Amino acid sequence: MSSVSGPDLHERLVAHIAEQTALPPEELLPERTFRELDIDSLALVELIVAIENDTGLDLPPELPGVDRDTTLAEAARVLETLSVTAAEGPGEADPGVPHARG
Amino acid sequence: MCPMRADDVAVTGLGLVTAAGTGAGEVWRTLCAGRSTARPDPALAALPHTFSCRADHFEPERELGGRLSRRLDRFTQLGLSAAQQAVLDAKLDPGSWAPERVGVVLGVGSNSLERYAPEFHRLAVGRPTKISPYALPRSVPNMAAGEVAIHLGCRGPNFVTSSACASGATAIGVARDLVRSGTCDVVLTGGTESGLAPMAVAGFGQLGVLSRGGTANAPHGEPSCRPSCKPFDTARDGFVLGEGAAVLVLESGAHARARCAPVRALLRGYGASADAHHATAPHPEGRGAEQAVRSALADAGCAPGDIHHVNAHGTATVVGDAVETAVLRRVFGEPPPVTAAKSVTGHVLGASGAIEAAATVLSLQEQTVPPTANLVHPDPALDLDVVAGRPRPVPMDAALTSSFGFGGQNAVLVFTTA
Repeated sequence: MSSVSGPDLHERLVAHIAEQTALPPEELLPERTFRELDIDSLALVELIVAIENDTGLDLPPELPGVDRDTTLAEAARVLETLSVTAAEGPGEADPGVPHARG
Repeated sequence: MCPMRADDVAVTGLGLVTAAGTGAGEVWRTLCAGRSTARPDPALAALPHTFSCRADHFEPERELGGRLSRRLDRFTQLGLSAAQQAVLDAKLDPGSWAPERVGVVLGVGSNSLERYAPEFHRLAVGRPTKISPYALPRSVPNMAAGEVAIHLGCRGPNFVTSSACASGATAIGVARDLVRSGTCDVVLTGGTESGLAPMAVAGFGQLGVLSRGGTANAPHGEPSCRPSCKPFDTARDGFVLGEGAAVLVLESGAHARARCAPVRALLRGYGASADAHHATAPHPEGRGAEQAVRSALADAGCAPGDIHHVNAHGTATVVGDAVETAVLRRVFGEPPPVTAAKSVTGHVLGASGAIEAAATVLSLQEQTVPPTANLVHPDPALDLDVVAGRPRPVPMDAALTSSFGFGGQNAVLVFTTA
């Protein structure tokens, strides 16, 4: 059961991109595209998996309508839409999983 | 004196990142200080073996940038950083070399387990689609050589060698062949490993090869000692795991001369063999080890008496050091002064052969054998001249370094002064 809301998802998307790219969150403006941030297709899959593990959402491996030329704001809206339909899914976040490097 | 040969291969650069420091100068100073780098490791607190030789001073975000370092596992960060350093040390300009004639051959002993724990957990709880797509590419050994090529623009042969604790020496030997055959002008070669994930440390612990310290084997009821790698000592009880990387720039004599490159040493001989005996134990008579030493001497055109220093494998296991001593005595009669760098750096697995090759090159340049750390009570049963306490000046033309891996995989290198 997901408990994430709209603004929350945008924040989490930005937080995960900041973690992945080492860019300061204030540079990750809503109108930036994944391509502009040099996020390739594999990095995009990594991002989706990280959001799934963080939020417990069960997302499709490729988000509908999201590609490298999508803006962060558009991607956050897709995540919000999917979070509503996925809310009844079997997803769960990954409590207790050690994320730190060995 | 080993005769000069037309196809000698020059060592024109060194890059090192180890618990003993970064860069040839710093690592050499730590080796000469004979200071063990083994320390309690908070990441291993829950395990029976809690000491490691971690390269704590290495800051990948500063060396490689945040974005790249976050994508790479530690062994690749270390290897890439050492390779960049080696190229600078050799005064090579990646913009001016013929990229398709520059190879990368690195020794890596095993798959990185650094960030696999959460991924295995996801698999175990039935969530395979929640595994990071980077889990595989950041962990597989070949990525170390691949990333070096990507970032330095080396488009020649590119691969890793895996022969357990001999991987780094195997890599250097195979790289030498790529230069000698004319396939490459330059090969960046060495090894890299960070076997400090709890699963790796626990696994070596279960093999009974890690030092526990304590008084069990110490003579005369000596006070308790911390876990440490004590090669050739009466109280030796195994090694401490380390992490690090060493990269050598190997270059054809012609290529090095054409650009007036600084030459640190020549790589003169390589010998490799298999014990064909046991998965983890050495052959009791050191059959494969002796064959590799003799092959390396023959390949170098050197007689045993031409070798003035041996940088030993010296893992400080009870049996390993005894077998190595017997091999050296059979080959050399009275072996030249010996040192065992794992006493300082820890056992860096696939990188150790490369780190010790770099140390051997530095010994030839400095005409000095650094001491073996932690050697307090030399085992009287091991009749070797092991340098301890302080560095010893030794006039030397040629030196040999040996690496003997699990699985009975052996690689020996002979270097001479430039």
